[in-house]
Amino acid sequence: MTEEEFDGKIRGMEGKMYRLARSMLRSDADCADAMQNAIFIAWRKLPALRKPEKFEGWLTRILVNCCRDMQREYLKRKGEGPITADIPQEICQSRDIDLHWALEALSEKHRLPILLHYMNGLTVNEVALILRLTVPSVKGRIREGMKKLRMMMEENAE
Amino acid sequence: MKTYDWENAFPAVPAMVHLRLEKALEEKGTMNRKYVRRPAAALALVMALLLALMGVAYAAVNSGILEYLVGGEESASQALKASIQPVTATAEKDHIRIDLTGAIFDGDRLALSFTMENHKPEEMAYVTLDEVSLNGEWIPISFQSFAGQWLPDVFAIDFPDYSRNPNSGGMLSDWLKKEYTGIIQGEATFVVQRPMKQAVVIDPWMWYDYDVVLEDEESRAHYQARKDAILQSGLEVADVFRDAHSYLGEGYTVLDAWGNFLLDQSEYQYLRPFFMSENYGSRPVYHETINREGQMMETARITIPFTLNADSVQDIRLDVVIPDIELENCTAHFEKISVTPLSTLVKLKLYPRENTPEAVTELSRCYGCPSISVPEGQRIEWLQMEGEGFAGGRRDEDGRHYYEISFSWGGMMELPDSLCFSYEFDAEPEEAQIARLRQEFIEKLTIPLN
Repeated sequence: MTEEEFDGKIRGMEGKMYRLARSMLRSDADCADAMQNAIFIAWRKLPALRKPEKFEGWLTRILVNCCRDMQREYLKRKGEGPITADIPQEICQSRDIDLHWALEALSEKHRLPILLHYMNGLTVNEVALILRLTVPSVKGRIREGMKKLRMMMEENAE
Repeated sequence: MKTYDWENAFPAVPAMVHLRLEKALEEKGTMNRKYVRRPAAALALVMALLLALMGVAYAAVNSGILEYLVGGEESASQALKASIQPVTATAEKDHIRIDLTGAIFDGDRLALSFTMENHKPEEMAYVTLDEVSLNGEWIPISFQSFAGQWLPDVFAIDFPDYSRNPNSGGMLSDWLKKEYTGIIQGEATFVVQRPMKQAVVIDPWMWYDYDVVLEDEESRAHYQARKDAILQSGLEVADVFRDAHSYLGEGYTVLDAWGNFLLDQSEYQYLRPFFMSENYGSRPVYHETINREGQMMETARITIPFTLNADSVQDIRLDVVIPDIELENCTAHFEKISVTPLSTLVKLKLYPRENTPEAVTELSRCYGCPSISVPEGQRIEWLQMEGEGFAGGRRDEDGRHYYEISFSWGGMMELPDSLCFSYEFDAEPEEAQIARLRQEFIEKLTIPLN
C-alpha cells in the first residue's frame, strides 16, 4: 500500500474513526489524540499488514486499543471516571439526539459491538477480534444491546 | 426490524479533529522511531550463534551490536561498522551465561549488545540489566532490551526465528555529559531473579477460542504456537475464575500470558477487568497492588567488565563550530553540532531582538518545528534508529529568553556535504512574511560537514 493509498483510506474512515473514538472517550481533544496515535501506529506497522483488504478492521482494532489506553489514563488520574460519564455540550449537535442518548445510556459492553457492527460495517468476526471476545459473546452483546436500545427509543417516542 | 441512522447519532467530525487527523497524516513519517527487534535481525542472530557453536566465535562477537542498533550489518553504514570497539567478555553465575557481543562509543553515547543463555532452561530465570558504569560512575540509559527478560522467553514467539534461549539484545545510553579520554573501564551488571516457588499464568487470553475465531490459517497457527509454548513450558496455567491473590498466598509468582508480573504494576490492574467481567464472571480479579518481593528472589548478580578506548573516538566524530548568524528577527547560535556514526546532534538557540517571552513566542510562530534535511540536490539516508526533536521556548542561566530547536537523531548511511533545516512536512505558511523568514532561515543556517 502506497502512502497515498494509506492517506486516502484514513481520510475515508475519518467519520467512522471519530464516531468510534467519541463513543469511548469524553472529549474531542481525547478523540483527536487517540486518532493521531492510531494513525502513527498504523503507519509504522503497515508493512506487517499482510492483507490490505483487512485494513479497516485492522485500523479499527488499533484505534480501540488507543482509546483503551486513554481510558486507562482517565483511571490513573484520580477522580475521573473511565468513560463518557459526563456528556459534553457539543454532543447536542448530534443530528439524531434521541439515538445518541440511547447509545450513551448503553454500557460500553453493548455500545461498542453495536457501533462497530452496524455503524462501521464490520463483521461479527472482525468485532470479536477487535474487542478480544468470542463470536458468540459479540452476538449476545449485540442482541442484548439492540433490545435495550429499542426499548429506550420506544420510551422516548412515547 | 427498525433500522437506525447511526451516523446521525453523532455530530459531524469537528474541525479541530479533522485538522489533527490531517496533521497526523503529514507527520506520520517523521515520528520518533524506537528500537524494534525485527525478524531478519533475529534470523541473523541465530545464524551468528550457530556459527559460534561451530567454532567461528568471531561471527557472534561484534555483530550483535549492529543487530541491536540497526537490525543487521546490511542496514549499517560503513562508518558504524568501523566504529565497533573490540570487546569480548563473558560471565556466568547461577546457570546464566552472559556474553558481551559488541560496543560502540562515540564520545556522546555508548551502545552495548549482549547475548544471555540459561543453561538450566527447565528453571526459568528473570534477568535484568541493572546498571552500566564507566570509570566507576553509572551512566543514564535511554533504551535497553533487558529491562526484564524471562529466560527461556516462553512468552514471546512473535516471529518464527526468534530465539528464546539464548536471547539477545542491548542498550544505548543517553547523551553523556562527561568527556572521556584514554582507556575507559566499564562494567555492566545484571541481576538474576527466580520465582520463589513456581510461576503461574493467569490470563483470559489463554482461554480465548481464537483458533476458532481467527479467519486465516497463519494467524491461527501463530496463536496456537504461542499458546503451546506457554503450556509446554511447565508453567501452571490457572483458572481465571480463581482469585490471583490466592496463588500469591501459596507462594506462586503470578504472570500474564506476556510474562508480565500481574500484581505489581498498576496498569495491568486496570487492563484486565476490561476484558474479564463479562466473559469470565463479574468479579475483576486484579484489584490490589502487591509487592513483587514475595514472589521473586535474587539468586545472582553478574558483572561484566569491559574496556573502551576513548581516544579512538576522535577519528569517528565530527564536531562542527559555526559562528553566530544574524537573521532578520533574531540571532542564531549553534550550541552543539556533532555527527558520529552512532548519532547526530544539533542544538540551535534563537535569541530574539527583545529579551521577552513574547518575543520567543513570536519566534515560535515564525519558525515552528522544522525537520533536519539536506540541501536540494543532495540525498540523506538515516539509519533505522530512534530520533527525537524538540522546539520550544527556554531561558538560560543569564536570564536570556531563547527559542530552542534541537535534534538528536541516529547516524547516517553516508555523510552528506551539508545539513540544513527543512519545512517539507509543514503546510505552506499563510503569512507571506513567515514564508520569507523561513526561507532566510533555511538558506543561512546550512551546516557544512565536509
